[in-house]
Amino acid sequence: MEQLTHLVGGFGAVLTPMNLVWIVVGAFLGTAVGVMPGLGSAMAVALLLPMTFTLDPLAALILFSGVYFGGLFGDSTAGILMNTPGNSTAIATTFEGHTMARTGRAPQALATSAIGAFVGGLLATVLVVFFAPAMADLATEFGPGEYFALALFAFVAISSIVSDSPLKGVAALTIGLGLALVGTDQSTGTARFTFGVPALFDGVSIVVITVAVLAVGEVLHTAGRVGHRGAHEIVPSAGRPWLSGRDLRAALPAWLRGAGIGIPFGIIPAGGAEVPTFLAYSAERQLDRRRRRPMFGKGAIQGVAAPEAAGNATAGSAMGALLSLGLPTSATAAVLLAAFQQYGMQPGPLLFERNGEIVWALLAGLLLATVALLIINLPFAPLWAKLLLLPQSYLYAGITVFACLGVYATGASRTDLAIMCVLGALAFAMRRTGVPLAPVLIAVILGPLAEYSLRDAMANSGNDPLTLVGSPITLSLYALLLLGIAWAVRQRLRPTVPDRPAGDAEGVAGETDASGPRGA
Amino acid sequence: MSDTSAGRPPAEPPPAAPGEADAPRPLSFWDGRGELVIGLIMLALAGVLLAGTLGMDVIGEGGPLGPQGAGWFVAVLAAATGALLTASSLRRSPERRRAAAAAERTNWRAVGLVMLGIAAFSALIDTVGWLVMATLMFATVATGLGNRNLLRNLTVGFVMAAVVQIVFSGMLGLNLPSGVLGGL
Repeated sequence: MEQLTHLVGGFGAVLTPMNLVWIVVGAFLGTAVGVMPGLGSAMAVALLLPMTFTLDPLAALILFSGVYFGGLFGDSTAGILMNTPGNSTAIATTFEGHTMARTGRAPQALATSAIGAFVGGLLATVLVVFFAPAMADLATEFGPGEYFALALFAFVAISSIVSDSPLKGVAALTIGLGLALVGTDQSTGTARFTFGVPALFDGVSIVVITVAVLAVGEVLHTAGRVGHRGAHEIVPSAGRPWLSGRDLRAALPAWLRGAGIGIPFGIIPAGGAEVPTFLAYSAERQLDRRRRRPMFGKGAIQGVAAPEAAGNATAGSAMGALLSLGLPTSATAAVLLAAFQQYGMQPGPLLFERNGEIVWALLAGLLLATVALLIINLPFAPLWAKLLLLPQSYLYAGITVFACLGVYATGASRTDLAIMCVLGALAFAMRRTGVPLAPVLIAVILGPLAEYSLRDAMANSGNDPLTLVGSPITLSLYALLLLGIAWAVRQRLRPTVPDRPAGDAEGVAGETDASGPRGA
Repeated sequence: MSDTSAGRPPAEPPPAAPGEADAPRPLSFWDGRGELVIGLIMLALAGVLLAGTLGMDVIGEGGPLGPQGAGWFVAVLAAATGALLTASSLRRSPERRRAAAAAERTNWRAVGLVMLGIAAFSALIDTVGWLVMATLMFATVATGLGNRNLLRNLTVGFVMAAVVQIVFSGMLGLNLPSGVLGGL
């Protein structure tokens, strides 16, 4: 149990007053952006990225992870109380959660969702503690061929398999790959697509891209919808958030099932927690249909418990994939990877060796963050809902100011600001036309990895393309990829349309189908 | 978002599902063809990548793919997706376009105002300075988002810009330009 020793060491490193403050700050910020529709943890981390240059890496990383987990805690609050999910990851929770609230069980719904998020996050993080080092060991065997396969797998999964329109997904991916090409070629020193602009020799900064795509694009998207909204009222949440014994007996298995569905999704680049939350929701509904008194549609507690647990379980195992393989599986994980790189660390197999102290302290911090999040969410969820009364015009104006500040802070360069304007407008056009944004970020982050791995693999093998399928690992990755594609094609050809209403709460996690209003 | 007065009623209703009832009206060329924009952008991207790849000043020997290989690949990908998106948006039936147009109505005035604020900030930050430009941008964005109280928008923006200047310049050592106010 070497991991436990490391983890105890991690707790030793993370348990300083200042680090605890950062955990709490991250938990608060994450919950806040989770509660507010349109804001997501990816955008929050992107905005914080340039402002945390001066923090030490551990403090910044535990802050970011607190935001990541917190976003998934807070997102269901608005969904349950107002039927406006704070993020796409809470849409599945909203169906039964809001029904529970309207039948006077709002405190129970909020408690079920907070405890569910806690259970999912905790289980996944504990699994990461035990298995991430083994995964990292396995990944030390990875050569360029394996990394190319891994990147290719991520590209296809995020753009085609889980996206609503593969064509739009690939378009988004292509934009990201194009952006990643700008700058000096690492292996030959050739200037690529810089068009003589010196500011572009170092490439387009990842901070500029994430802030422009996630924050500026979101502000423009919100502006485009001004005047096209209807009002929603908050269902008051009166009473204490205690679950009765019957509630607990119903919710506990659902939490565990949800976590079980969510955990594997964290290591698949499926664009975040949206897909597993819907899978958990439909699994519970299937189970419910077989019961003597089906509760779905009347406020079933399982319909809240399972998706919430699935969402946070995905975030937990996504941290594992990020730390041990260097593979970002959601938009927020992609931004977190950029954060690691900002501090000169490369997530992946070598991270546990080179920056072991930080990784273990971060994992200990994650466990503390889930506890902190439970404490600030369980009793106070109705208070968080008050955030929805913030005037949106000031909220988004403030986001704009911080976005510009962040981009300016990275290099005090007007070229960066100009790029931000262009990419912000592009992101707006993409949002309006239902093109997902997550593939852009994944492509920007993994594009260079894919390209240089491919070129290295070719160079190492004397230009023998068969080297790409020359190991069991690459073969299984490609097999998995083909299976995924086959599954996606089958899903698309099936005539039945799954009940997946989407609306304007779509966050950044790779969805955005502009179909009709969600069921009220 | 330091000082948004809590008692103030929201200037705009919270988000809800799109698609209010709107009377049928004749379809303009762009209605329900939003993807056309993305398609054209992808084709333009393909053009830029192609030009950049062809005109690349390759240094040294980079193997069979070299620095240009990825450029070719992404250019082809961009051209293919661009062509497919353009074609599919042009071929869409009027009924589907009408349905799509209802879902994608856009408040262009608000978008324009916000974009103007951000662009003006980007262009003038070095000459005019942080305090003035951030205040103006905040007010422009808040106004664009439907808050008609201009004086209050300017005040809130100014307070926020000042707080950011104090915190980031004073405490974190980030240099924000003082611009025209530098001489005062």
